[in-house]
Amino acid sequence: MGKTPKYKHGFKMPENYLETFESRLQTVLKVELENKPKTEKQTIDSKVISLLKPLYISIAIAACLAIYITINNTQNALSLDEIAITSIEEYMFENLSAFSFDQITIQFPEENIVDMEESALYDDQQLETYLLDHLNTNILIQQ
Amino acid sequence: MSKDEQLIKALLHPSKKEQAFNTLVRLYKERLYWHIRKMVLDHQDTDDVLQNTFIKVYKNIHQFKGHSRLYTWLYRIATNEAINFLNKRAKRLQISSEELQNRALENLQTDVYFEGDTIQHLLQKAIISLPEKQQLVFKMKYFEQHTFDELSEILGTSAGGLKSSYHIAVKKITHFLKLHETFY
Repeated sequence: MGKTPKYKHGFKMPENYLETFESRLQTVLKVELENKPKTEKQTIDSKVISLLKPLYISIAIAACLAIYITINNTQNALSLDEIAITSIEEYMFENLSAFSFDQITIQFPEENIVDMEESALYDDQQLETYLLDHLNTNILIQQ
Repeated sequence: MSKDEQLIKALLHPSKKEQAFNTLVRLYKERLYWHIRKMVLDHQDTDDVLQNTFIKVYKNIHQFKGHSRLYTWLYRIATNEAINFLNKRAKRLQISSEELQNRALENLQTDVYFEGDTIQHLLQKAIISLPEKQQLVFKMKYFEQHTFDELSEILGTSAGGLKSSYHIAVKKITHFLKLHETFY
């Protein structure tokens, strides 16, 4: 440890400084300890609370949103049966015309198209029924 | 069990802490005072830093793991407190550390608690011309007569590096004094 100074430095200590130091230190220490910040445990507790609060709020908001969306979806869910056939036809007529034949064929591989042609979609009986129901025969006769 | 070990044990014991702390203050206040005084130069500032040092010791004694000796731990705290004190003041005054030291040195000329002669004043001037680490090593070795091993433990630098720092500091100071002695 540092020994008695070999070389003089010129600094001087006020008289009785060291004698009074301890009592002054005690006073300062007392004030420091009275103003002591929260203990480590208290700090941890408050941190946990402060972190949990936003977590609870987030969960509550997410739950409310989930319930709201579920209710709305249930109310708005429509089955295909509930949509008028005319609406579907109208939609397809308006939207499918936007696609060229080439674009449609790109979307469907050749084998799918063949399958579709061979399927019941073009069943003669069904086709005849459809035509009888939908075609105005008077127009055809006139033409 | 050594005296230091007994003291630490008492400091960690709630019912013995107060008394042990008083013993610690009584044992180390003077040595730490001079250590801090040579760093901050002004007595009042030294008093503030010394108080802060002991308060820190009181609050953090449970963190002392006994890996180093008690007095090296105390010196380390005192050194850090003094450096922090100077840095904070320089920041508050918006000046560099060098400028702050120059001002402190100027104040010494009218300081009632400095009775050094012109050579001692010049020596202080030479010291503040050194880089911070060299200043510290020089003061602790030259004035306080610490061994390089003690310095190594306090400053956390190898003894070899400290020897080198000290010798460079001595050379620079000698050169400075030779250069300026004709003016006195």
